[in-house]
Amino acid sequence: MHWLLLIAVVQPALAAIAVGLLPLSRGQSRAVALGSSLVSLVLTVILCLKFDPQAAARAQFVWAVDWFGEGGVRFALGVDGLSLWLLPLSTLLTVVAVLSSWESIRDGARGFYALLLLLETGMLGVFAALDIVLFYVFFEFTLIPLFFIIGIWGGPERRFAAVKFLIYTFAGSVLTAAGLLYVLVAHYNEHGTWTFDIATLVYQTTIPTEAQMLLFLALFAGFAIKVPVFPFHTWLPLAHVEAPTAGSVLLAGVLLKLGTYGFVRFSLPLVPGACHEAFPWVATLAVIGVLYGALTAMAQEDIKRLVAYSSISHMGFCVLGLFSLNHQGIAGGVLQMVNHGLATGALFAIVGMLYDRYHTRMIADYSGMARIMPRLAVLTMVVVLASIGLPGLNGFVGEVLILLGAFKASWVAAMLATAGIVLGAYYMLTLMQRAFFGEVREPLAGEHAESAGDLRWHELAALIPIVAACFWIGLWPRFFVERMAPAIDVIVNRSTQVSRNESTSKVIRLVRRAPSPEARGS
Amino acid sequence: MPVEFVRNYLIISSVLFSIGAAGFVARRNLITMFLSVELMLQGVALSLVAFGRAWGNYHGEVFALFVIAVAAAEAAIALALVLVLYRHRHSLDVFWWQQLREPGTTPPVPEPVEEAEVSTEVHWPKLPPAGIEPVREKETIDVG
Amino acid sequence: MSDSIFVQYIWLVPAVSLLAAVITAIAGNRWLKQQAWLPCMLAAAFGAVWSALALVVVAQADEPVAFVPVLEWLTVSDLRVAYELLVDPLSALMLFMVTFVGSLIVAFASWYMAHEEGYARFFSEVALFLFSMTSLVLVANLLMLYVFWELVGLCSYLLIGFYYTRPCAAAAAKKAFVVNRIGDFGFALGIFLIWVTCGTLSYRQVLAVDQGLQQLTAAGPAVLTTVCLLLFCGAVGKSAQFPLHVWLPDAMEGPTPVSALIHAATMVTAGVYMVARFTPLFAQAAGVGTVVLVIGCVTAFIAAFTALTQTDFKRILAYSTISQLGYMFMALGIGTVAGAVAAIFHVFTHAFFKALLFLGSGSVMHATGGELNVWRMGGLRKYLPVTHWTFLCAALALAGFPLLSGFWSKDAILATVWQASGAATQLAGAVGLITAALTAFYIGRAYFLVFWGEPRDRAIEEQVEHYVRDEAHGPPEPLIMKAPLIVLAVGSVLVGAVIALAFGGLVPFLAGAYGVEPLAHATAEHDAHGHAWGMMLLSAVVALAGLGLAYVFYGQPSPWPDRLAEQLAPLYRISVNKFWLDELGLILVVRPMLAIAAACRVLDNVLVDGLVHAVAAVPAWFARLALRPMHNGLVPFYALAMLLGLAVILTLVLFQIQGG
Repeated sequence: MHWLLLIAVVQPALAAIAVGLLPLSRGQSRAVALGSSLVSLVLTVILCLKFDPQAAARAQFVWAVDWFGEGGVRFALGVDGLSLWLLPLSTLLTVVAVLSSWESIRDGARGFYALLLLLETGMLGVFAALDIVLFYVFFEFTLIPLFFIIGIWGGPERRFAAVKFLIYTFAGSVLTAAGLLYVLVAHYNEHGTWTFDIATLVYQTTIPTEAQMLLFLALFAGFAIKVPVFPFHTWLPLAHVEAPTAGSVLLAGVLLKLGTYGFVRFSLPLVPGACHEAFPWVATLAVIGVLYGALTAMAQEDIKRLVAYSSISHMGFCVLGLFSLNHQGIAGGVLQMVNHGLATGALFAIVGMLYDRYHTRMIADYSGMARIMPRLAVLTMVVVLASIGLPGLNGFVGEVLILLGAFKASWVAAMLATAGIVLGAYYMLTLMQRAFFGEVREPLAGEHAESAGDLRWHELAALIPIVAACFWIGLWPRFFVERMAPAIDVIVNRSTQVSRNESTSKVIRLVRRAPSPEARGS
Repeated sequence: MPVEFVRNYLIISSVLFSIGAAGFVARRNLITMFLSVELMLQGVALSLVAFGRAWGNYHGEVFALFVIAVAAAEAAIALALVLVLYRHRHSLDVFWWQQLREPGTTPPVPEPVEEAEVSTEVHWPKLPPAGIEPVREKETIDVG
Repeated sequence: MSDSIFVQYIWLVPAVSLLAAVITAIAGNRWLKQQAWLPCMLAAAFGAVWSALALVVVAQADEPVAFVPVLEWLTVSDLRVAYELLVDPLSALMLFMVTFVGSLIVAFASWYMAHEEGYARFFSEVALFLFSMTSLVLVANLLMLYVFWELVGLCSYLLIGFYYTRPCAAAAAKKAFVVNRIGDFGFALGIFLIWVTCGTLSYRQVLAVDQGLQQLTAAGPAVLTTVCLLLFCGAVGKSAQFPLHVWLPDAMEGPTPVSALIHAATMVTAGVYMVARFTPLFAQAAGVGTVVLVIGCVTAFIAAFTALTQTDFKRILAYSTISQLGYMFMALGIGTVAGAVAAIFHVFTHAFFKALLFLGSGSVMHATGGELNVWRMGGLRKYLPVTHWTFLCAALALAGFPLLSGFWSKDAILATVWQASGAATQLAGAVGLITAALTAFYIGRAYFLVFWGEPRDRAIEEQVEHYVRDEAHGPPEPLIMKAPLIVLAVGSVLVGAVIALAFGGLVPFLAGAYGVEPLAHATAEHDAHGHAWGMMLLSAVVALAGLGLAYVFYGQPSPWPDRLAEQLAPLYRISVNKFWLDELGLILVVRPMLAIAAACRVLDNVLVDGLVHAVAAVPAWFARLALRPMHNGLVPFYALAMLLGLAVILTLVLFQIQGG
């Protein structure tokens, strides 16, 4: 029994209860929130350092007790190579969320920080859950704190945004729940015993061929909306624009990954045949997402909307990589989850910092900010470069792995996705050019003159760890990839076995065939 | 268990229950409606006692005591609520409170017409005669 | 050879630059201040010395190719990417060129950039550039090449945007990055295709005749052609070839030393280096050579023709760079080792004289207070004697004045092109000759307008006089600025002759990089030179004619330029407007893209979100129709409904009991 992981997961919830119930002032409650999230951060980082790369395919640091039911629903937590890096990502971004709300949340701070900490427990729980029921409980539980965070502390249309976000994602995940229940039953039918252990379920259940596609679709419904995969993305810009900074940071940084994590945890190993078969469709959606998200981002005037649409584009890469079903693609996809979380989380935090100073998010209102806030400009530059996949920073590693993997699977998809990188550079650098470079022009300089100034300590403390992590992943990706590789091997082996056993349909063979000379020559 | 033994009790209890149900649906006066509910409860309590007697144990009576206790608590709260409602409108007519309907729909039964002037003095509710619209009391009663 | 310390520790060259970049970035503003240039300078000088020694080692080795493993960067299953360095004649020569020219330019910049805000930032970014560029020429892995390819692009972006508060600098920086990304798009796909076909990205295997090359040819003739075309895409972007050359003239918004270092001497030649490096592939790919040749040819001519009428001093030089790069690609388009060697030869000499031209323009800009219009200058030779003489050396070298360095390398290219069989190459040779004349003319024009005659603008003249006399900011041409100019001038004059005459050309040296028999090719080259005397004479005549015409037109006040512009109005307009290529790019690429983007935005709000709302509207509609009337707020109605429901349930239960 390893207590570290349990403490890391449960401790924020306890702190949340404390913050919610004790009559703390705003300063006290945010201090408690910061302390609690820092404890979890430190614990998860320790876990990552103690993690055994050789045994990454199995869950480590397991903590399990029977929870309820005689069939053996357990409260089981553990980490394997797929979930390892998502834990420190969640804890780091929670710290960032707390720090970026340091000054901006004034009313009801107690409730706000309590919800934030609850959300942290939810996120960590999803990634650490080893039990399918526990997974689903945490999966849905994350909606609730975020619903209130958006609905209470959000912008003018917060209620509508919160409701749309909740209903849309919930509608999808209900289908996912049905799919997961089916898996339980299928396992029972095959082996004659009930089990709720995720690893046993996904790696030892053989889903009948005719049911694979249906199960795939059921799982896809919930996860694709969470990601979001085009065309299920419209809740995202609205939720982001309306959410307070902390909400946006966690929503984009962590909660979107619940979808891709679901894909890699359930869809790929459970229904590898269907994943093969669905690759052309999923890849099409992913590539449309990449290009369409980038193009739509290009036309935005609100920085937050721009970043939100860029999320759609980047998550498209992620999905494309995962469904390429080879080592490079999946490794890239999993790494890209972390990368996107870091870069987009930081971008939303930066938008929040600008908004706190000038109370506008329109790109056109800003110009020459680099002169007024040089530190912010430097950090933004790094984050933007990470987000457009510049080598030496994290985004590059993920994108290159994904594109290599995708190229193996389908060169057309890889080519189109690569075009997305060009578009990404265009809109992100346009943002830099318009907002940070050029002649100095402060929005409403007279009114908010007193608030304009470079970053304060808590803002620096929020951004610098992210930037450091970006450099770390970018400069030394081996460290990260090594620790997930064995887990990915298992998935790839399973899918290649299946694809060898099953004859895939003609259409798929046409698309997935290695690029033929005639096709490329023309 | 001899059915004959409880039959008469059950007939009476179901009659009580039905009268109560009919009264609750048909009457418009809040207090009368409340009394109808009490009638339904007592009907049930009666059947419980009868069953207890039939089985020769005290379970039914214990349950009946429970029901009475709950009814008492309920009465305390319900009457307080009725009083609060009365203070708002100076009427016991249930048709005054149709606000729970979907916003934007017209009331299915026209609400009683609001009188032009509402006396600020304290009115105490009175039981109206059965089946007709409760009459709004004009005279005041000295509390002291 | 690999046991030599200078080869084994060659990674020190980039590493020291990186260290300098980090030190300057951290300590520059606070502690180093006006000494912020020192780390960068030391790193560059160290690199120059070290790479010179490595060059000597390589030149003396029998087997002049060594792979130096440094560290494993990324391993995912069968994908292995290592920071492994390749030391061979080609990379050693490029490395020496980068660090040598780099250190001279850094020394110049320490004077030029003094008093600029962001002094430390500048040198930190330059050091980062030196790190990236030295790594770029050294790495032995395609993905690593791409990494540093992008990193030099980043440095270029940062340095073009150095004066970030100027809107046009910010715009130029973005343009440079994005246009480069378009080229990199193809480059990346080429790398992916190589990986999928060969299963490796290391030069060791990809370039080996019996491994990667064989796999690529075995995969079908179209594969190799596609790979080479895609790789060439990257070169087109980075080396500013038509049609992606539009970023380079705009890049002149950056500080002048940057233009000299990145946008003339080193980074823009990365494409040439890359194609030269992959010549074994390009040589086998059918049809690619012609594409490279045509692109190079078109670029050389278009850029030279545009340079004829530009008035912006630095832009003239920028178009000249593009044009010279076009020459290099013409040579590469031949697709033989001799062609690649000629291209690298030109890269080498070009680095000297083009860097010198830019540094000279920087000196002029300082004297004139940042003026760039050549028509407002004039007569500067008496104020800035060193600048004038060194600029003259560089201009003559560029023009191909006999026996100066440009003459030799340009001649090598023209001779190679001329001698290759095929109508396309003959035509290219002719275009090359015409372009040589244009080159001599436009650089002569710039030279005469700036340094000869009398000052044309009163304000500028006063500014220059004030600058020369005012001792407050030091002498007009201090040693730290003079020394690089003079060294480069010596290089511009002598390098070509030394290489061509003393070493018999670069072929014997560089052939080692391609693993071919040096001797066989040396003799081939010798034959070539034997036949090329006519070409040499011809190009000398052309160059002198161009210079002479420039003197007639611009050496003294003359009515000819205006008259000619009137006579050839359509041509003049094409040149002045740069073939409308910027406008064309705007209309054909940027505007449609933004229009599609705007359409996507509307589509997203109306169609995609509309569909979601439409789906969501179905239950709402049903509820409004069927459920809403039931919620009438009438307590007796609710009670009745409850009773009826109870009745129904009881009835069902009763039937159940009866039935069961």
